[in-house]
This record gives sequence, C-alpha cells and structure tokens, in this order.
Amino acid sequence: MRLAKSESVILTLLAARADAYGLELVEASRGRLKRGGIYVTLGRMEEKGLVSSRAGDNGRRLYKPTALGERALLAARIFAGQVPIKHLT
Amino acid sequence: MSGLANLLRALVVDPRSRRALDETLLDATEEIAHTSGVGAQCWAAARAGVALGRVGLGSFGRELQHLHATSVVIVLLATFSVPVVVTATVWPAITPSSGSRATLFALLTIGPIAAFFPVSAFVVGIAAARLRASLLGLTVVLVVVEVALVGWLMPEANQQFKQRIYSVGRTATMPLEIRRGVNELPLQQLVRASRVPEASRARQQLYVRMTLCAATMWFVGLGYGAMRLSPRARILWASAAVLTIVAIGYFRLGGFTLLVAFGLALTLAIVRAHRDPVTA
Repeated sequence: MRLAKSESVILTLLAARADAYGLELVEASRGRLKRGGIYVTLGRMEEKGLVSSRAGDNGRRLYKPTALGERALLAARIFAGQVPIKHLT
Repeated sequence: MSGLANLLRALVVDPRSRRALDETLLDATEEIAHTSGVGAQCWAAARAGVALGRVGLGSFGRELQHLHATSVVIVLLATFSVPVVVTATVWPAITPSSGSRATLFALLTIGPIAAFFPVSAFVVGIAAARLRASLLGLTVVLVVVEVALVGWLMPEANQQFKQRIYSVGRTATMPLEIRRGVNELPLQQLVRASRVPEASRARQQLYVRMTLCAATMWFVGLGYGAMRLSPRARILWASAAVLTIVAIGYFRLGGFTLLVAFGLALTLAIVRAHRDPVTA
C-alpha cells in the first residue's frame, strides 16, 4: 500500500499520541496539513483502514491509527530508508 | 451559525464532502467558543471561513460526480425551451428573407437564453432538491455558464446578428463592419467602457449582466430552498420570492445589492426554518 505525503504525516502524528482531533493534527503539523483538506484525507484513510475514529466531545471525531496504518507507516519509513528493514517483522 | 451551517450542508451531497464540511464546522464552533475577545473570535471566524472555502473548492470535483443525467437534461430543457419559444415568436418580424435563417435564429436565441438563465436556474434548483443532485456542483456550473454567456457569447452573437442583417442592406459606400454598441461589447471591453464618466449606458449594461450572474446563483438556492417547504408554503414563498427578486433585479437595476442581500436572507431563512428535506 502506497501512502500519500499527507497520509504519512497524519500517521506519523497519530503514532505519537493516543487519540487526536483533526484540528489538533493540523496544529501539530506546522503547516503541512490544511484545515480544509484534512477531513477528506482522514475519511479516505478510514475507508482504506489506516485510521479509525470514534465520537468525541460535541460531535467531533477522535482519530487513531489502526494496526494496518501503523504497519503501512513503518513500511513507508523502511522504503524511505528512515528505519532498518529488520523492524518489519 | 446553525442557519449558515444548514445552508452549507444543503450545498453538498457527496458523503466525503459532507463529512469534511461537518467536521470543519464543528472545529470552527469549538474554536470560536473557546476563544475570548472580539478580535480573537473574528480571527478564528476568518480562519474557519478560509477552511470552509477550501473544503468547498476541494469538494467541487467530487460534487460534479453527483450531477445526475436527469438533472443535466432538466438543465438543458429549462435553459433552451422558453428562449427558443420567445425567439420563434419575434422571429418573423425582425429577420430578412435572405441569408442563413438557421444561423440567424441560433444567434438570436443566445440573448433570451442569457436573460432567462436565472429562471432556468430556479427550475434546476427544484430539480436538484428532488433528485438529490449536488447543489454546489450545479450552482458553480450554472454561474460559470452564465458569466460566459453574458460576458462573451451573447455580445458576440448580438454583433454577428447585427452584422448579418447590416450586410443584407449594405451598399458599396458603407463601412464593411458595423460598430459595436454596449450590448455587443465583451465583458472586458464593457468594464473599460463603463469607467468613462459619461458612459451611463455602459454602466447600466454592466449592471444588468452582473445582476443576471448574481440572480443565477440565488435562484438555484431559492428553487432548492422552496422544495424544503410544505407544498402550500412552498407555492406562497416561491411565488413571492421570485416575483420580488424579478422585480428588484430586472426592473429596478439599482437594487443589485438588495437582490444579493434579499436572496441570501431568504435562502437562509428557508433552510433554517425547514431543516428536514421534503422527500415527496
């Protein structure tokens, strides 16, 4: 599975925290994610099974990576040479 | 904000677009609620507006996929039927017996199509509500088409029509080409012409064209909003709205601002008062 750049950024940010709202991810991304576009990306990632969501406060959704999402991120990092291949087990 | 939120929600039908819109609206509400101070709230609202604009732009491609074939047929019928009848009615009185009659008829029809376009947009809005077609997609497409019509196609068709009629009776001493009047000026030339202090006719013509484009946008919304009412209220509201806007927009051209404000207020009021769509 190939990850788009924004998907990779979202999974990286989600991997560093338990759950997060979309707006929190935008703020943590330092300009790499945009407010108007993140929910389309998150919706697409949820359809692919890379993230899951649950209802949070006031109807907003909290997102977290699935096991598939974590493995896809790891594979993408290995492919980019950021992580040694022995981690993919 | 709920009225505006309902209006925005009514614009999109694609599930991904709607979800993006809903979550962006919730973020905006949350952010504004947790911000203190008028300046900071205005800043948060402005950022939310930019985010919503970005959602709208990003959704447009997906929304186009929800333009059903039936709604496209209705668009074409609504756009062409009345203008063709209008043209056919005035046709014998103004056309010469010589020349390509089919071409002249086609050229003459462009003007009524552009003038009738906002009313066609009203029909299209009703169809969009019935068919659950994308209102955003339809509105953007219709406004772009109307801008192209009144900006370039209609002036060129008018000029070609005049030129062909002129050529029939032209003698050797007369100039080859007839000069363009304000009705024949393309948009960019009309804007330039309207800047001259004495150019009241050019300004009025520019105003008419702007009114037609704005009316197209609001008439789609009004048609859609009217379908969200009960049948009796729908007839009353829609009739009153259409008559008022036609009166303001077409017969009192100084009411361009009123037209926009009234259309927005009415659409918001309708959507806010009747949040559940009428499915009948």
